Amino acid sequence: MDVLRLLPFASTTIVFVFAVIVLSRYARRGGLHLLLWGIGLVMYGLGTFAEAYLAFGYSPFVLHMWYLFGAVLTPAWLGQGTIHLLVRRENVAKILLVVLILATIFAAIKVYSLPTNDAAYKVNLPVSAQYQSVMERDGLTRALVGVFAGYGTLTLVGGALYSAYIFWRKRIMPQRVLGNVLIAAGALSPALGGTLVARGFGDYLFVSELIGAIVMFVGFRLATTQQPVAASAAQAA
Amino acid sequence: MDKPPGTRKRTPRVPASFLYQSVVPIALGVMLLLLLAVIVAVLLSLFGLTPGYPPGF
Repeated sequence: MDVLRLLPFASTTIVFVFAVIVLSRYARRGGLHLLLWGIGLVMYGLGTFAEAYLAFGYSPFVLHMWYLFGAVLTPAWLGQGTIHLLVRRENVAKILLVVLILATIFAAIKVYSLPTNDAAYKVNLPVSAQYQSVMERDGLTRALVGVFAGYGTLTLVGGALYSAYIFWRKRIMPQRVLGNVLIAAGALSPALGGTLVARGFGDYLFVSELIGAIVMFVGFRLATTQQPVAASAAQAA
Repeated sequence: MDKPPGTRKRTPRVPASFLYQSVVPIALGVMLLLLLAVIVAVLLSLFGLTPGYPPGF
């Protein structure tokens, strides 16, 4: 059996464990950013689960699910979590969230209304290598993917890089610097994998998703590790 | 428990290290370039100059 076809199962397991940890943290501590990251990770897991399913069977419902969560929604919801963490103007973050929710509903309706050529699907090929010939996508759908992916990648990766830079400049919390660098690298991995697929440089999507899940998970654990705090006696003036 | 007067907690600073001070900005710079590359790819696809942006996650 081709090992490559098993990678989405590993990605799904890691991502769902990651999602449970993030959502548990939200249940204990609150914080809308954690809830949004948790939702984004569940979407990531649904995308890789659909990919795993499509490596061994076919269902148009699952193909639409793979496209909706895998291509459209995941990065945007993860990035929205970062927006809520970093943007101090709460109203701006909330307005963006409302826009994202409305756009998500629209995208779900749009993607699930795309016609498919079921007879063209070949189970022995990765879904990422053949979805263009199975799913008839129009210009609006492609634009939706670009807008969601651009917004998500920019906010998630940009936010992590910005956080890492701030902690590095202040020379504090090195775990958070490294954790955010890893989150940015992990988020870039599937984005780059997808970009390479589109340009015919080989099908690295399964690998890039697995690497992305592992690296983001490690980064999150590092960034949320309790930092040692030293008590120092300051001389009273 | 009350803290003794004149005592405060502060986050410890990272000790001065050439490796830390040089490797981190290089890593951030490389990833910033990769981020820009992805954004350019997305924009090109949005304007129809390249094939549609594929699934990325």
